[in-house]
Amino acid sequence: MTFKLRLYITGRTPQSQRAIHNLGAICETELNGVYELEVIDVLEHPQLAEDHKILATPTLVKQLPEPARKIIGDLSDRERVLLGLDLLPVNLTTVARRSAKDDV
Amino acid sequence: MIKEVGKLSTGIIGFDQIANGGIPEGRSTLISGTAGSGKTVFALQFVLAGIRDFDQNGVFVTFEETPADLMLNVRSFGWDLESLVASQRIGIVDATPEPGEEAITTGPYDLSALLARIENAVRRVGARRVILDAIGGLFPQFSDANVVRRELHRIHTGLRQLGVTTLITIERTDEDTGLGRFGVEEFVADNVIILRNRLDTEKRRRTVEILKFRGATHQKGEYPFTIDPETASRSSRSRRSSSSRSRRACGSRPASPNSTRCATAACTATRSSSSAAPPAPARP
Repeated sequence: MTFKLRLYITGRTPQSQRAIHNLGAICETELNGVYELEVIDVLEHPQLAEDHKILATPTLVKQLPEPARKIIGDLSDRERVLLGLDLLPVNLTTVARRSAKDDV
Repeated sequence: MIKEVGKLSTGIIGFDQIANGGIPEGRSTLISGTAGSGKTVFALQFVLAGIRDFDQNGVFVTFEETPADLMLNVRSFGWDLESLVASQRIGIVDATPEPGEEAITTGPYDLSALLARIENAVRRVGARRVILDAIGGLFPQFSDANVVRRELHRIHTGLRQLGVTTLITIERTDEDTGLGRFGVEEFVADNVIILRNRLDTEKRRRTVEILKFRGATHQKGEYPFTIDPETASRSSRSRRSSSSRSRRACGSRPASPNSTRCATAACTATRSSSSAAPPAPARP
């Protein structure tokens, strides 16, 4: 199963750099290097952000496998990134969901 | 004589009169009102008048109603947004939530992408007039309301730097308390207009009040107005030449008893000279 990912950033800000760095680490360890990643700077390509209705940056979009999902933020909360990518084992997912609810 | 802030005509003759010329140019103006009070129609009329009468293009940023719904809903006034979008007179930025989508937050973020999209649309069509419609719709899309407030402030500043004139609509929960939810009035409080839609002896009575224009003059108090699809598609110039007709249309149609008709119609002249003037009686 190949992951198809898109990371939207705004310029080369520290926040953008952190997201790229955090994502790189996760892709290496969790996806065994089998993924396609496209990094889009919305300042250079605002129309792509328009087409895909991106409001926040950084935003990671998991296009494949389905379901498509938007993951917002600098990706520093590793567990929530894995949750968004459907990479958490089932029992862990329950825990993560519960903690996600607690956040709200 | 000291010159006050410039004004942009709204294409609504009566409103321009109570606003001593129109909306303050190059600034943001908050339009607050309950659901169905005519905020979107008012804002759209401002943009359409810019295109039609002053060759000033516009950008519409929508936070609640999808562009498709919006275009369909205003068709009843004879407003053809599709062709204005196709001919690059209006740029649309769709900031509505996607149905069923639940975003996961994993760390700090900002709304730079939204700002980049708005700036892109403004440059693409060469817009002078911008609408941020129903900004309250942005809050439920993100977990942190403080971030949204901070980012709206940044967008507000960005629009000011672009030199465009912006109308920002926000829904309020009732007619008398607070300008809007989420504390947004804190940063766009320079210019505030309130639209009201009160039930008065079983009839709807619409009024408009300019609460404040910083650095510019205006008339004070509430003025009655009607929403009338008949006059919506006519240009204010042609209306000026037939002002007796628009006066009659306004006077003969106070709050329409058919509220759904009202809600889907267009703002027309606000033509009243005294603030507490009662609406003209309806024709039997």
